Amino acid sequence: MTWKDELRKVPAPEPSRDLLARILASRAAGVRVVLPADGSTVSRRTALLVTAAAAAVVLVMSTRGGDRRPVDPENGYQDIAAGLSFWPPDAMAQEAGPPRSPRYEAVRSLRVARAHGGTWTYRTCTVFDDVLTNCRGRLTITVADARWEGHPAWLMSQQQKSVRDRSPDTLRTPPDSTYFETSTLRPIYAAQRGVKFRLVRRFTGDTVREALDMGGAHPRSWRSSAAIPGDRDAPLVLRWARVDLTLLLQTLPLDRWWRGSVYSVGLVGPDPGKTGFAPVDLRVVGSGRIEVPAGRFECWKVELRESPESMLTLWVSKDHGWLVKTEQRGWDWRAESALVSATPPAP
Amino acid sequence: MGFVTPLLCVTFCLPTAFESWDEHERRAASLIAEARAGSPDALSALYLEHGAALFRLAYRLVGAREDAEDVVHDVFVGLPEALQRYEERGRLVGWLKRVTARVALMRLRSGKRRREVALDNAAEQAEPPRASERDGLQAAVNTLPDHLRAVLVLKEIEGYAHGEIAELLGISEGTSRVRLTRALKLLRHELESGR
Repeated sequence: MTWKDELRKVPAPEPSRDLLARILASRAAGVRVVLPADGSTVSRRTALLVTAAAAAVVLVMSTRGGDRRPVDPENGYQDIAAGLSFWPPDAMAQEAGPPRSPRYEAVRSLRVARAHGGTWTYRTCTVFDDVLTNCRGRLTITVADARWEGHPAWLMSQQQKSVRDRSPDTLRTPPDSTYFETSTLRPIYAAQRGVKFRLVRRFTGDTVREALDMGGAHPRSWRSSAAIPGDRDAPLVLRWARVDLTLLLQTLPLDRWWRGSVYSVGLVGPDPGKTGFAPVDLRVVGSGRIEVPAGRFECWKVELRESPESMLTLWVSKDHGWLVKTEQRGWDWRAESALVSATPPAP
Repeated sequence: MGFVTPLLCVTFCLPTAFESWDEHERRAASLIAEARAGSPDALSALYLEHGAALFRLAYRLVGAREDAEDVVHDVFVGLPEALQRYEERGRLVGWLKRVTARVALMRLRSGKRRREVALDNAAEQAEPPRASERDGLQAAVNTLPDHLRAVLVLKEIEGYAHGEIAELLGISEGTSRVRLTRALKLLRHELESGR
């Protein structure tokens, strides 16, 4: 008898005697469970790859020029929106389902004096099945002093580039930039642009106004606005990017039991009623020393949840509040970014 | 006589076997129809017929008794509605196992399980005394990462083909094969180092 035969004989327990009674009681009480369909499924990995591929196609089209057939306004927006990010579609604001409430109290008492400028470069990797690793991405985030309409502001920008297979070329996302109020860390003005599109969002009080213009042979534009939930002076994060977290993490009063929620801002789109300003829930879950290419850091380990299914783990340095490492896990994939270098300004 | 009996059986037993198979099919079809309509008696009958096998499958996938019970609970609570989609092609038990495997895998993915107490605890609840090799094998299976253990359980214990596993897990057939190879390699390593 081989050990594979033995494997089939590894005993398993019997279910509890009252399991049937519990099942019948649940049915009688009106409990219903929607079971998964017995059809083919698409894995998160496949979804991620398809999204990344779609985003890459849009990116290449927007940066290389060329013709584009007209799209109807209903579907066109999602098409464009999908191309603005390398994140899976469920990171979009337009997901179905009831709006979620913040899990923790709104973030307050920011230590804004701790905020500082600099340049942080991250290596981004995706690992499939713990074996196949792609570490060809570089994300650079820059924070600098600036002024907006005569007032002091932070200007943040990020650029992602990715080295392609068997080619010295790199794919670069168009740089985007966002101005933040220094006292509240609320965005004032955010712009993303490529050769063939320009997206501008302006924030005033509790309102965001969005303008999206597509160029090319069939130019089209959208103008939308929506009310932002939460307090007018609460910090906000922009979705998809880690750029928005850079300043926020520097100023959060992290300690062992700290937790708090902030609202995030996605694309408003053509139907503001469907806009999801999803809360982002943050909590410290541990601390420790970690090593990344930029060095060793004593860090807070912070859990970031944007939805019940979507969790990102962040390591934030205790001394300066730098985002040192991020990790997101799926069933058979893992996305990581690690700090490669940092250039803080002279003290 | 030992030679004659099979011959006799070919001649005389087949019609009887077919009759009883028809009877079985009729009873199953009737049970399914009643369960679809929400009959608690039909649901109980289906549970008594298939519950234990589904529980064992769930247990081997999620690795904890409580989680496996939650999986089976959810499967049977949702069964009347899910049976509306069941097209009665193939055997019901095969369909039930696929649904159970999907629910168990969803649970693994969602991170809801209470897996800290893994298969070891089964020792106390599982019947007969086991050989020490089997203990070691069980402990070694426990050490496998979830994604490798799922393939190992589905392939080596449940007998699914790589194509079916690929569909269940949302991976390619090649990945399923790679994971099985890695699972077996890790298992061998665990067993050898434990000796």
